[in-house]
Amino acid sequence: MGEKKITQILNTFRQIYDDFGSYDKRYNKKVAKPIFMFAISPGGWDSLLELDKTARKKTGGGGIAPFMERISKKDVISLKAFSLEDSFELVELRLKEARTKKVKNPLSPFSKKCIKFVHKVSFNKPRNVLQYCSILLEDALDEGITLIDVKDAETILGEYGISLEEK
Amino acid sequence: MNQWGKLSLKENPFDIYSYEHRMADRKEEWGRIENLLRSAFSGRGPRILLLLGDYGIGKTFILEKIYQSLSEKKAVFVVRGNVLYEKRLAIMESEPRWTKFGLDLITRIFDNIEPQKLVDVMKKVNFTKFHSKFSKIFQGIANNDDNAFNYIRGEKVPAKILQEYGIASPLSDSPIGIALFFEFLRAIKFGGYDNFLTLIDEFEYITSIGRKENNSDSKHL
Repeated sequence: MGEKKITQILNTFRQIYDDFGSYDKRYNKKVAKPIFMFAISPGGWDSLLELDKTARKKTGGGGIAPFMERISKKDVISLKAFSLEDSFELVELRLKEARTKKVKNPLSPFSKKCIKFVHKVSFNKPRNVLQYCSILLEDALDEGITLIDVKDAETILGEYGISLEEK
Repeated sequence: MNQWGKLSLKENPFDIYSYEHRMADRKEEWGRIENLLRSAFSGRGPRILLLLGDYGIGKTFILEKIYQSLSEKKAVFVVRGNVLYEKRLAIMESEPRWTKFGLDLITRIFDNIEPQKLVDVMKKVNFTKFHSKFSKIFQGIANNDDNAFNYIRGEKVPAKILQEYGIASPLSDSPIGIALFFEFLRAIKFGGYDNFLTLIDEFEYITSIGRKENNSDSKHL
């Protein structure tokens, strides 16, 4: 049942992709081109690849296989995990946009070690870096902390149950 | 001075739901995206591009940046022709409206285009030269007619109105949906657009739709 529903959706894209040529020819190239960009997690993509494999075994190429074959490998963009340098850049950039005055330390009110720590517990994901920095900033403000160090980060994030294990 | 002033800040700058910020890093990936879009827009056929990344890695942010670049006309990847684009379509944000999932997808794509943008696009179409079985629907959109919008969104339209539009049957299955989609692509070409870009977020959701049993809330036509 599940595979059938997925096939219905993917076949819609496949049909648009395949029928374009005949439409374009019939209407003398007076058809706008459809360009689809899908964002998907590697886990989701693996599930589709797995379904594709199963479908090929069962039908010898039916199911979702026709859709999968239409995605060229060169049309796949993989977003890499954030490095420590990327995390520094992200935090600096966000802080810079909100500065009211020039400061010596571009990471202020965070210490460099604090951001290193945040990066470690963020799974190298920018969303986590932003989320944790947001929590730290809010709590630091409430508690009157003007320089957020690694100890503050451990305490504050620990209070929110955020895993402090190094990833 | 607000409370953030104590930290020399205007506000908390770490909002994860704001996409107005500049993009950190991703220079290499953004360069590839620009090249791929440039090649897609200037190519001859349709294209399916895939943005692969773990949760929280920045996929949504990238899609928003593509949309912003096009909106602000800063998109260096549009080298030839015009591109009609819509905002990011997050298919995870709502349950499928149809048990016919292919049709659901097409109606969502139409639903996701800003109404005023659709009106403006259809106003550019010369309907004395553009002939299609959906011409009157597209003209209706140009005239901001709710029934025309309802039709392309897969909402119920009274049979009498459908007759006035010259439409024999409601938008009730995927083949009609696909035909409408192609006629839409023809119409926008008449309106001066060479490409129609659809940005689909959270595409992995289709694997979970597939695993759900028949959704009793889904509409049947």
